[in-house]
Parts: sequence; C-alpha cells; structure tokens
Amino acid sequence: MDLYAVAQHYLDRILEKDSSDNIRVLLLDKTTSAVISMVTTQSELLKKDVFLVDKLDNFQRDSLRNLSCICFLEPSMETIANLSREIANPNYQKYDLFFNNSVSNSKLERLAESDDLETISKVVEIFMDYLVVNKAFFVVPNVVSPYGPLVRDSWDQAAFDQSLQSVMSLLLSLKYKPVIRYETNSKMCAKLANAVNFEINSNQMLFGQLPLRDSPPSLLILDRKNDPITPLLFPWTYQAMIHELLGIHNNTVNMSRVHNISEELKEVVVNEQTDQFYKESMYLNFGDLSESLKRFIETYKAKTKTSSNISTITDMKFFLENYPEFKKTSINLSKHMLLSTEIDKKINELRLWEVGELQQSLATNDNSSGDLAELEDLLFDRKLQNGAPAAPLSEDTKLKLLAVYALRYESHPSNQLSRLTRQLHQLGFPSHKLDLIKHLLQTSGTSQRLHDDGESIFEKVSNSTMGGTVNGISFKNNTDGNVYMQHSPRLKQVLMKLFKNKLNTKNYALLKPNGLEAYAGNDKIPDQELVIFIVGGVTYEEARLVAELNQLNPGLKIVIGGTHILDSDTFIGLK
Amino acid sequence: MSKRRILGASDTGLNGNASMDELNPSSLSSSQSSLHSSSLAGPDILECPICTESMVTVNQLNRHLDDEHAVSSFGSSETNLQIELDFKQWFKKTLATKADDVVGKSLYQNSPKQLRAATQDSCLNDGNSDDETQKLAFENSSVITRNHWQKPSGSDICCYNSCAKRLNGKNGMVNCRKCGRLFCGYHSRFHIKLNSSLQSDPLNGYWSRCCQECFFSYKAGWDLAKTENCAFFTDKTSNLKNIRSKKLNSVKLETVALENRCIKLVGVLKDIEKNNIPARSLRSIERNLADWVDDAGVDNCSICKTEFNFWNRKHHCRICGQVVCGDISRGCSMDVPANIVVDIMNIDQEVKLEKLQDSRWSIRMCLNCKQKLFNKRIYLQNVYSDSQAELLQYYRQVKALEDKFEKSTQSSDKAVELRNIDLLGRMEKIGKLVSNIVNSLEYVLEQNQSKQGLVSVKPDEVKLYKALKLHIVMFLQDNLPGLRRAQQEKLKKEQTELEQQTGANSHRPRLLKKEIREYREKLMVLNEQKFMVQNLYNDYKKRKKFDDLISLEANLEDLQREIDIIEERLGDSAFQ
Repeated sequence: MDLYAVAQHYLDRILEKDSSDNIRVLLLDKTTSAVISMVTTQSELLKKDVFLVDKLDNFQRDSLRNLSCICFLEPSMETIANLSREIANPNYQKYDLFFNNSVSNSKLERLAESDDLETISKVVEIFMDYLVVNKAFFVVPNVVSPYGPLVRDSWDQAAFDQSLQSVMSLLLSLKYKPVIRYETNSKMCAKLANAVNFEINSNQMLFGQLPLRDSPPSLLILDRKNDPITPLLFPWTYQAMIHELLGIHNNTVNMSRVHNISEELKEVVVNEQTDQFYKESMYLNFGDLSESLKRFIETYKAKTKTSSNISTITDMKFFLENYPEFKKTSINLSKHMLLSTEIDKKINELRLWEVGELQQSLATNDNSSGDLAELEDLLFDRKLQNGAPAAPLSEDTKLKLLAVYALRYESHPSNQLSRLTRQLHQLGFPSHKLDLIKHLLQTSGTSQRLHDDGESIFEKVSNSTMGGTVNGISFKNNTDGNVYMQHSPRLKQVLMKLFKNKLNTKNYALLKPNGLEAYAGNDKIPDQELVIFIVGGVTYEEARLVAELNQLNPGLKIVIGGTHILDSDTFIGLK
Repeated sequence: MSKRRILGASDTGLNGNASMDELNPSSLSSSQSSLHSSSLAGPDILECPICTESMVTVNQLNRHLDDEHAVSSFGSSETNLQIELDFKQWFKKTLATKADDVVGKSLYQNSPKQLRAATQDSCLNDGNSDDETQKLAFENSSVITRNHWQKPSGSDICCYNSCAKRLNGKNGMVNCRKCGRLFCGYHSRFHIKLNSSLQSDPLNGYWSRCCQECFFSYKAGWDLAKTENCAFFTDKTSNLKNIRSKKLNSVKLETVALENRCIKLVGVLKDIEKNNIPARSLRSIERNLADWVDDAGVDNCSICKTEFNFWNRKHHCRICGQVVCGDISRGCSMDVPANIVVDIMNIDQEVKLEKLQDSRWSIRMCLNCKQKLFNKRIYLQNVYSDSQAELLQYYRQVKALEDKFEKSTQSSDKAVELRNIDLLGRMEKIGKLVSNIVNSLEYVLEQNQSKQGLVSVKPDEVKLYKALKLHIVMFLQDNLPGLRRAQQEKLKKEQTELEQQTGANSHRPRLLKKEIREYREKLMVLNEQKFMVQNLYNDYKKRKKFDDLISLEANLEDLQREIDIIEERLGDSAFQ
C-alpha cells in the first residue's frame, strides 16, 4: 500500500505542463498547504517550474500578469470567496483550479460570476483531502478533537464534516467502493458509517465509474474508546517515540527549545519518502535504533574518510563533486543524532525505563499485588536508587500510570484506585488531574467498551494463541521477550477476526452500498483491501502494526487513519 | 462440435463427445433450484439448464442449446463424464416423464404438478445443493481448465524468480491456476477471480489460487503505480465554461453597445476639433448618444446611493446615461482624459482611433462603464507587456539551454560532452547574471523600506528571481558531477582504447622472419644475462653484501621488463 504513489499521481496532474512555457505560481490555502507539504518538497516544485508558492488569503501579493497560476484549494466557502475576489481582479495571467474534493455547482456558479476576464482555464476535482503521514497512514486535517462539547459519544460538527470529506476523498483517490463495517457500541462510528454509505449511494455517478474488484474493499470504522490502553502506554519505536516525547506536527518536529541548536536543525522534517534512514528505522525499537544509527555513522565515516585526507587532485575533485551529497548526509545524520539524543534524555528524565516496564506489566500480566506494590513505590516516590531516594516522578507520568491501573483493575475485587487517589490527593496532587481518570473511566471504562467474544484489550503479544498466521495472512510476532513491547493493540485481534471472517455482526455492523448487496464475506479468501479509520484518534503504534502487515503480506493492502494522531497527553486530556 | 440436445438427436448430444465444459454441477444445481421456484411461481415455463433462459417449447430449447452453448470441447474427460451423468439425471427427471407426448408439442399443456414433483425430487436427491454451490463457486475445476498445468516431474523447484525452493510435501506444490506453472505454497498463496478463459473477471469469475506474479499483473485495480488504478479525478472545466459563457454572452452584448457609444463620442470630439461640428452642439449630441436619464426624478447616486445636494452634484455618465455623483474618493464617476480613453480602447481595436490634439478633452464615465470598458483591455495589455519582462527572458534562456542539454545527453554523440560543458558554462553565466539582479533588487527593496519607495520593486518579483537562481543552481549541481564523471570515464576509456590499439597495431603487421630471428637472439642474450645476474645476486646474498644487492635487484628487474616486452612482441612465435 502506498499513499505516496497516489499523491504522486495527483501531483503530476496538478503540475502537468501545458504548451505555454511559463513560470508558474502555486496558490494554496490552510488545508492544502498542509496536504502538499506532506508529500512533496520545495525543490521538487521548483523542478516543475513552480517558482512562487503563496497562500490565497495573502492579499499582499503583487500583480504578476505574465505568470500562470495553479491553485490547489479546498472547496470551502471561505476559500471560494477569496478565490472569486482574486479572479475578479486577477494577479496572474490564467488560473488552473484544482480542488481537493467535490465542488458543488453553486460554488462553480459563484466562480463563473466573477470570472469576467475568462482567466480560469481549468477546473479539476482531485481527491486528496487527507494528510499522508506514512506510506499507509493518513490523518484528517485540521481536527483537534472530534468530540462535541456536551456529550462525549457525539461528534463536533466541523470535525465530522471534515472527517467525512477525508474518508470520502481517500476512497475515491484509491478508487474504492467499499463495504462498511463499524463498531455498533459507538454512536460516532455509526453516524460516520451511515454518512459514508449515504454519500456513496448518492454519488453513484462517481462511484459507478470505479473499476470492479474481485472482492469489494472494506472500510472498518473503529472507536478509540474500545481500546483506551494503547495510547496510554509509552511506545518504544522510533517514530512513535518522536511523537510522544517531542511532538510531530505535519511531519515536522520543532526542536527550537533545545539549547544551542543550529539554525538548520531548529525545525526538522521526518518524512519516510525523502529520508532513507528514517524509512528504514522508523519502526525500530530503541535498542535496534541505536544499532542502526551506529551503522549509519560508520558508513558516513567511511565515506568521508576517503575524502578527508585530500592529497591528490583527483581526491579533491571527488570530494567537491560529492560535496552536496555529503552535506545532505551529514545534515541527515545530525538530525537523527539530535532526535535520538533528545529522546534518550527525555527517557532518563522521565524515568521511562522503570515506568514503561511497569506499564507493560500492568497492561498484560494478571499480577495485582506485585504490580500494586511497584505502582505505589513509584506513585509515592518511595523507590530507592543506589541507596538514595530517586528523583520524584513527574505528575503526568504518575497520572498515566494510575490510569493504566484504573483501567486494568476496574472490575477487579481488590481494586485500590480510590485509596490511591485519596492518598495522592492528600499529598497535594492537583485534583483536576485526578478527575481526568474518573473521566477516562466514564468514557472508556469496561461498561463503555465493546466485548466481542474472547476479546480483551489487555492482550499480550506472546500470549495470543492465534499469533503467526491467520487464514494465510502473517502477523509479526514480537516474541523476542522484549519486556517493553509485550502489549499489542486491540486492533490486531480485530484484524485477525476480520481475516477469518469471524467478526460478530452484532458488534460489527455491515453496511453494503448499492451494487454490493451480493457481498457475503468469504471465509476462505480474507479481505484483500482494507481501510481502517479510528474515530477518536489513531496512534503511531497502530500505524506500525499495519505497516508490518503490509510488508509481510504482499497480497494485502491496508491503510489506517484517524481523526487525529494521539499521544498519551492528548488522549488523557493533559494537552 | 457436438450438440447438447434435450430431446431428439439425443444420441449425438449425450452419448457422443459431450462438450460440457460450461455445464458444471454448480450451475446445474442453481438452475434446478430456479426451475423449481419458477415452476412454483406460476405457469410452467421450460428453462435452459445452463443459462436459465426461459423457453416455450422443447424445440426452442434444443435450438437454443445448439446455438448458444455448443462450444468446442476441452477439459478433462473425467469431470465431463460426471457432468454428463448429472445432466442425464436432470434430463430424465424433469422431462423424460413427458418425453412420450412432448415432441413437437407445446409445453403449455403439461400439468404443472408433475413437473414440480420432478424438480422437487431432484432437489432432494442433490442434498445440500446450496452448500455445494458455495463451495464450488470458490474454485471450479470444470470451468477453470487444468490443461495448461505444468506436470510435476518429481524434482521441481518453485517457479518464482528468487525462490527456487524444492517442491515437496513440506514446501507445498501448487499449480498457479492462471499461468499453470508450479510454485511452492508460499508463492502461490494468492487468490484472484478467473473466468473460463483464464482472464481476471471480478464479476463472474471464480476464486482461484494463483502465484505472486499473476496476482500482481492480473488483479484488477490493484497496482497503485498505474494511474488508472488510483488517483481518481473529475474534470469540471466544461461545467464552469458553460455557466460562464451563458453569463458572459449577455454581458458582452451590453459591452459592445457601450463601446460603440464611446467610440462615437471620441469621433465627435475629433470632429469638433476639426471644426466639422460646432462645439456648442456637443451637449445635445452627448444627450442623444447615451439617452440620458431624466435627473429631475433622481435623488440618490445610482452607485453609492448618496443623496444629492448643493455640494454633492448630479453628473451624467456619458456612456450609459445614468445619474451618478462626482465624488473623487468614492470614484462613482470621473472625468477620464479623452486621450487615455483612446489609448486604452486602441489596445484591442482593429481600426485604431486617432488621438486628439488638445489633451484637455475628457469624458465623464461612471465606475461601472469604466470597468466594463477598461478592465479587460488593461488586463490584456499587462499580460502582453509583462511577458516581455526581463525575468521571463532569462527564464526562457534557461529553459532553452536545459532542453538542448537534455537532447544532447540523450544522443550518444562524441562531441556531446564538449557541447554540454559549453552549455553548462552558459548556464553558469546566466546564473551569475540572475544572482546579480537578485542582489541589486534586494538592495533596492531595503532602501525602499527605509526611504519610502524610490523605484517600484515588487517583493514577489524578487522571490521569483531567487527561485530562478535556485533553479539554475540545482540544475548545475545535478548535472555537473555526473558530467565530470562521464568525462573521466570517457577519458579512461579512450586511454585504454588507445593502449589496445597500439597493442593491436604491433601485433597486426606480422613480424618478418628476420625480425623474429633478431628478437629471439636478443631474448636469448637477455635470458643469459639474467641468469648471470641472478647467480651473482645469489652469491652476494650468501656473502651478505647487502649494499650491492639493491643495485643488482634493480638490474634484474630491468632485465625482466625487457624480456617481457620482447616476449610480448614475439607473441606465439617465441616458441617453435
């Protein structure tokens, strides 16, 4: 599965040159600038003769009527208003309009109204209303929280519209006309699923043109509340750690808070498409990452060594010719060095080695007394390190530990949550933070979650009896005894059942859009094309699971996405 | 070609080489059940057992079978036999009971009860016919032919490129249903839907196991590297153009009328200048030309709606005749100097208007008319004049150079490299020029910020120059190292070629016998010398006279080199 390939097709279409040889200007808006920045670079654009990239709502632009203009915009009311203002008094010679989703006829009329000078030469709808994060990982743009302000299991209207648009555009961009499965215990999933179904049925004109497939693709809509554990646990793989500890925003990491940072590393880009090292190591755990970084340094050294002792003219020539490449590699190397040292610093600062181990043990083992003692030691800072009391844990870390405990032992008879909360409160732990746990239990406690047969969110990788291969589809087995990566997301179990066609229709309703009524899952042939959408946020950990599945199974194409990307802080409500 | 008859001439159809490749148990049982339901539903209509098309008479059914379902026979005889048997059974149960009186007779007269009983019977006999159809829809051996299958020879290896696993019970041994070759279990774990002609058929095909290669090359809509499989888009240009042209047609008519008035007015002014018309009649001509609105009934400006009074005077637009105010700040109307009107109107006029001699003439125009008359013309003028800008000229030069470069790198000419170096040099020159411009423009921009606009420089233009510079730098960076490398390789190649040629040259003219003799003698002498020196060397070594050893060693090497050269020259003729 490769969303980058799809994006590249679209880019080619947008940047396609017509007969007139001209310098071109690219106008974007808030959404599309994010969309395009995730899939291409400034220099790529420059190669295609796009010399100027600007925002449509920048009204300070100069009139350059000798240039042609490409607009890649979202068809929102605001953008259309700005655009008609632009073409009524055109700054450029002609306009090729590309919208990242369907444009209604009334909006077209409005544009035609203002186009007295006949400057619009092209109007094309392409379907790229989503951000490509990884090869098989997309996210809805501009959603901070999908939840409505009043009731938790309800949508914020704007977020809902945007999510629906994103899902529809993703389906169209992949030319999918899917059957839809959703978790019945969630109203949000049901609303989205029905809306998607309705849109497909009312846009038969578009969906009817799509090529037939051997079996229809599936759209699986899940709700975060059914798996509250995965976003709480500290992830130990590279990409996920960068996000958890440093924060990835539209593929960029802001490093300006680091002391004495050089100008070019203040904001670093982490993109699978342009960064070979990142592509190879984004799913590695911390141990493997340092190994691979070491190798990277060694190859770099070996490369530069040959040119460091410049004695002859040919050496000099060789060095000069390869200088741009060296420079690129060295910047890349220092970028990853910086990221991993910062991660390391943070891990030690937050004492994540101990905390992570306890988190995993809490989440996977049924050992209430031992874990409780350990938890109390950490919560009340009783632990000794080299004979002296260790530095106290940060409040947020404690809170997350307590949250894992609260979820794990919610219905356990010897649940000590209320005692722990009371004690913490007496020690001066802010009560608004403790309330977050109450809130978490209300929204995704055991009564709120879906209990499909034999399913538990506290699943251990090595314990899962079904591991390995399911109906011809291999899952990666991390049974190398890594104590920090024992837990596997619930998504894995759901997928295993899906591939066996064993999803309980009571818990996972199936919607068949017009024309797909004949579909009745075949238990011999698992679904081959699948789009997963997690309402309430998706984690990098789940994206990794999907990436591994895609890599291990060439006959399988899965894309995963969500309303937004979670880290533990945003999930629990600290941010 | 054999016939598959229900009745009559049945010996050719049922006992001969029946060709039942399309006739399979699954379709049979389904047709049975549909026959069953249709007979329950109402009038008894005979149905084709293959395509369930309804027939009125048996004759018609026979003809239909001959025409539609007679296909040349292939497929394994075993399965065909089975089908034949099934078919016979079906045939007997449904129709044989009536065979006596059916021939040539309409089926309308048959009792529905009997037929129903017969079909029900057959359903019972079939057992779980539904289950069977499901299983068979998965992979139907009688539809998906096995003729092309590679026969296992006992020592096969997996046909997948890089696999080469031995095929046995452990690794698996599976024929790809599509290409027929043998694969190991791992490389044949894919499924596509195939039809009887082994083509991918998502609609009516049967799930069939296939190999990795076939999966990726034949699976419909799978490979995202192909544009037709993804990146769906719709072109709405024509929609917009339709809407726009509808709207513009009415506007255009209006504009043409206004244009004509404007041109006439200018003509009148010209005539007054030439004294063809007395100046005092101007007002009445203007009035007639534009059909002035009666200003008595107008209290507000027709554009800004401001009330007229002593200070806010009424004005008539000379083009459309509307009453508007003359406020400069609002710009509802203004006196446009007539020569400017002429200039602008001339931009796209075929018959150019003449300029007026007195530049004080002016025409009062309202905002609307001014926009309608001027906007498009000014836009066109800008597009044209800006296209001659310096920036674009540089850009075109760069593009032309790039084109040339690309073309010449494609052709494998010998002089290409020299020419390319020349091209790169020119590119570098343009780059320098552009970077100079960037610097000067940036300087001007800085000055402007402090001194408030001396020369007008657009910040966007500076950005464009910078981008152009970057473009050139990138091009040079991309191509310079590659070119240099190519150059070096070429040099090396030439050298080796030269060496080979010289080597070959010395070989090619065959050595004369005399020369051979001379060389041999020389060789012998040299060998003898070498022998002596070697002895000397060993002797000195024994006596540990290391100082002399070094010079002797060099001597030996020299001798050896000379021997080698002569031997090479002699080649084969060194030995007799």
